[in-house]
Amino acid sequence: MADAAIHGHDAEHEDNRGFFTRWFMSTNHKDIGILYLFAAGIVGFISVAFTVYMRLELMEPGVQYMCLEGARFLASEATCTPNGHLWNVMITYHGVLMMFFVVIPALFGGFGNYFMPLQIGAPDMAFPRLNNLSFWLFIAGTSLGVASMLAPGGNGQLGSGVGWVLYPPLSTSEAGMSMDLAIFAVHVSGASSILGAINIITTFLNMRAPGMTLHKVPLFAWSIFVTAWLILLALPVLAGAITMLLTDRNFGTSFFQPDGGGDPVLYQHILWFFGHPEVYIIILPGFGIISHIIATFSRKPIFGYLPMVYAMVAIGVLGFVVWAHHMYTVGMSLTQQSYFMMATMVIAVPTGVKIFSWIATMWGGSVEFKTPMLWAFGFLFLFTVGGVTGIVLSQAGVDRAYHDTYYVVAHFHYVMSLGAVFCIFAGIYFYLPKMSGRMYPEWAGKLHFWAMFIGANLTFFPQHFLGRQGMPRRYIDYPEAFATWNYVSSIGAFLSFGSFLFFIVVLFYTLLAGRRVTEANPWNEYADTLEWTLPSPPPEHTFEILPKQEDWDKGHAH
Amino acid sequence: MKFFQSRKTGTKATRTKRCSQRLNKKALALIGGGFFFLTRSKSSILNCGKTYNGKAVASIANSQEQPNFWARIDTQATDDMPYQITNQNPCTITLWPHQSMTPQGFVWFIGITSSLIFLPAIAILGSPVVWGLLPFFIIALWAVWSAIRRNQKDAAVRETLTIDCETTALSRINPRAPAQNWQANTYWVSAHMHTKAGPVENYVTLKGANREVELGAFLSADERVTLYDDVQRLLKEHREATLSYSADP
Repeated sequence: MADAAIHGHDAEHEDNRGFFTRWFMSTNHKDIGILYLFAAGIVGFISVAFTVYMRLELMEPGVQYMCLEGARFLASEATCTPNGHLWNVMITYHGVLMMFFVVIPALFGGFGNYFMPLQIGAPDMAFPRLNNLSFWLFIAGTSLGVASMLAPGGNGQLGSGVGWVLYPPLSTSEAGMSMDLAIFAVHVSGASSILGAINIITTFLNMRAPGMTLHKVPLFAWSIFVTAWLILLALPVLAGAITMLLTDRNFGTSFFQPDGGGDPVLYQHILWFFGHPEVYIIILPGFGIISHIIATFSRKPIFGYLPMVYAMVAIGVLGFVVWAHHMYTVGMSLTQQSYFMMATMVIAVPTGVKIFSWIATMWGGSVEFKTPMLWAFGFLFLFTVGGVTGIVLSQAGVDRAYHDTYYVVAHFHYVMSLGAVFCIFAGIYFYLPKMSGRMYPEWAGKLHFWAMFIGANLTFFPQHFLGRQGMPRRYIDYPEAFATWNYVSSIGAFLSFGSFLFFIVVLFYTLLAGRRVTEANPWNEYADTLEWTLPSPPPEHTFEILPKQEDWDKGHAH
Repeated sequence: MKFFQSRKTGTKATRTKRCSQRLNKKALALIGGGFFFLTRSKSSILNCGKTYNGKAVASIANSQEQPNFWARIDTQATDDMPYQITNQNPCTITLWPHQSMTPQGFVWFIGITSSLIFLPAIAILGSPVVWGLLPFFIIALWAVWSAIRRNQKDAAVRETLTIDCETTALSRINPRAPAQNWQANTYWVSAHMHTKAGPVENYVTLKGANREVELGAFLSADERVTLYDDVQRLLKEHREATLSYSADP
C-alpha cells in the first residue's frame, strides 16, 4: 500500500505547468477540450471564408471573381474566363473541412472532452495520453487537408474538385497528389475520431460516479456516448472505403474503378453507410447541449428523460439503415427504394419525441431569454424546418425532382448550419462563464444571435425556392432566371459572416476583459449537473475524490 | 523487552489457539444469527469476531439506503461494490475502487457493437470489397475491447486488510506495479482519520511498526467514514480479546 501522504495536499495540487507544457503536451481533458474548440474555430473560419467567396461569385449571374486569369476579390472590368476547377475546389474543401474538421471536433472533441467526464464525475478521460494523441492527429489531419488544397491537383491546377464525398471514378481519375493528400487527411482525422471515441466509450462505461446508473446519466453525457458509439461503428467503413480508393488510384486495383471491373455505385453505398450516421454524429451532441439549456432557462427539469435517452439511441441505430436515401437515382429496384423511404420516415418518430419533449419542457416553465436560450430556440425552430424538408426529400418519387438541386442544399444546411452550428454557439454561450470564469456581455450575445438568425435564414430559405425552380447544385454559374433569390441568399451569407466576425470580437473581449464570474453556477438551480458544482473556471484537477450522490442526483431529472 | 519476549514465546501456541477459538465461537454464533439478515439484504454489516449487537443491527437496517459499498459476508463479491468484510478468523476487509461497468454490461456492449459493426459486411459478401473493409471492422472492435479491458485492469487496485490477535497486515495489489505489504502487531496498531489534512477528505491511515500507511484512499469520503469506524471497532475487539486472554491465569 502507499505510505500515507498526510501533508501533501496543497503542494500536490498546485498548477505549476508552463504555457508550453499546458497547451502542447496536455493530457488534461479540460485543456484538450479547449484546444479542440479553438482549433475547430480556426478551421471553421477558413471553411466559412470559402462560402463567402462562393456566395460572392453566385451573387450575380455570370462569373466575375473565380477567373482563370486569376482569382479576384474585387469586381473588375477585365475579361474573366470562368475557372470551374477553383469553384469545385471551394465546394470540396468547404465540405471536407466542415464535415471532418469543424463540427465534430467542436461538439464531440471540444464540449464532449470538457464536459462529459465532469458530468459523470470522472477525474479525467480513461486514457489521457491517448486523448492528447487524438487531438494532435486531428491537427495533423487538418494540415493534410489544407496541404491537399494547395498541392498540384486536377485540371493542371491546385487542389481537388471532386466534392467531399470523393465519388469514383471522378476521385480515382483526378490528377495530381492533391487527391491522395485529401484521402490521407480523412484517414488521419478518422483515426483521431476513432481513438477519441474509444476513449469516451471507456470513460462513460466504466468511470461513472457510484450510484450513477445508465438511467441517471445526464443527457449531454449520454449524447456524447451515443455519438462515440456511432463513430466507432461508422468511421471504419469510411476508412476502408477511402483506403480502397487509394489503392485504386496508386496500386492498380479495381475496387471501384469501372474500367477494371469495379463498381462505383458500391462506393456510394459504402460512403453513405458511413455518411448518414455521420450527420447524426454531427448533430447528437448538439441535442444533448440543447436539452440542458432548455431545462435551465425554463426552470424545469427536462421533460421525459428516458424517452429522450432512448430517442437518441434509436436515432443512432436507425441512422445505419437508411443510407441509400442519398442515392435514390442510381438505379435501385422499387422494393429497395420503398424500404429506404419507409425507414427514413421512421427516423421522424424519435426526432419528434425529442422536439416535443423540448417543447413540453418549456411548457408552463418560467422561460428566460438569455443568449444560450435564444440559440436553443433558434435551433429548435430551424432544425424542425430542416427536418420537415427532410421528410419531403425522403420520398423517392419527389426526390427525382429535387435530387442535386438547391432544395437539398437548403435542407442539409438547415439541419447542419442552422442545427449543429446553432448548438455550438448555444453551448459556447452557456458554458463560457464556466470555462473562462468570465461572463459575455448579454447584449452582444443577443446581437450575434439575431444577426446570425436573420443572416442564416436569408441565406438558406431562398435556396428552397431556387431548388424548386430547378437550379442544380455545385455550379459556378446560373441562368438569369435564378438571379433574384441568389442575390438575396448572398446578402444573407454576408450578414452571417459579419455576425461571425462580431462573435470573434465578443469572444476575445470576454476572455480578456469580461466581467468575472466566480460563483459555481451563474445560471440557476436547474443547471444541476456536476460541472455546475465546480468553481468557475474549474481547477486543473476535478473529481479526484468521488462526488457524493446528493451532488448530482436531484431525483427529478430521471 | 526481554520480559515481553519470553512471555510471548512461552505461551504463543496456547495463546493463539485460545484467541482463535474465542473468535471462532462467536463467529459461528454470529453467522447463525445473521443468516436471516443476509438473505434479506446483500448490503449487511456483521461484526467480525464479536457477538451480535443491537446497535449494529440497527445500523444495518439503515444501511440499506446507504451507498452499496458493503459486500456479502463470506462470499466473493461479484459486482462493483468496493468493500467487503469476512468474518473468518482472521477477519479480512477487502477494498477496491468503484467501477461502473458490470461484466454483463461489457458483454452487452461488445455484443451489440459487433453485430452492428459487421452489418455492412453482409451487403458486400462475395465482392472483393469485403477484404478492404473487414480489417477495419476487426481493428475497431479489437481496439474498443482492449481499451475497456485495459481500463478495468488499470482500476484493479485491491487492498486487503487482515486482522487477527497477533498481526494486522495490509497488502495492496497494484495493476502494473509490484504489490505492497505492511504488517504490525495488532495490539499496537492504531487507525486515524484525517478529516481535512489528507490528500482526500476523511483520509484513513493505519499506524504501526514505525510506518503510517493509507487505507481506501480511492473510496468516497462517506465510505471512508464507515470504513474507519469498522477498522476502529475490529482493532478494539482484537485488542480486548488479547487482553482478556492475558488476564486469564
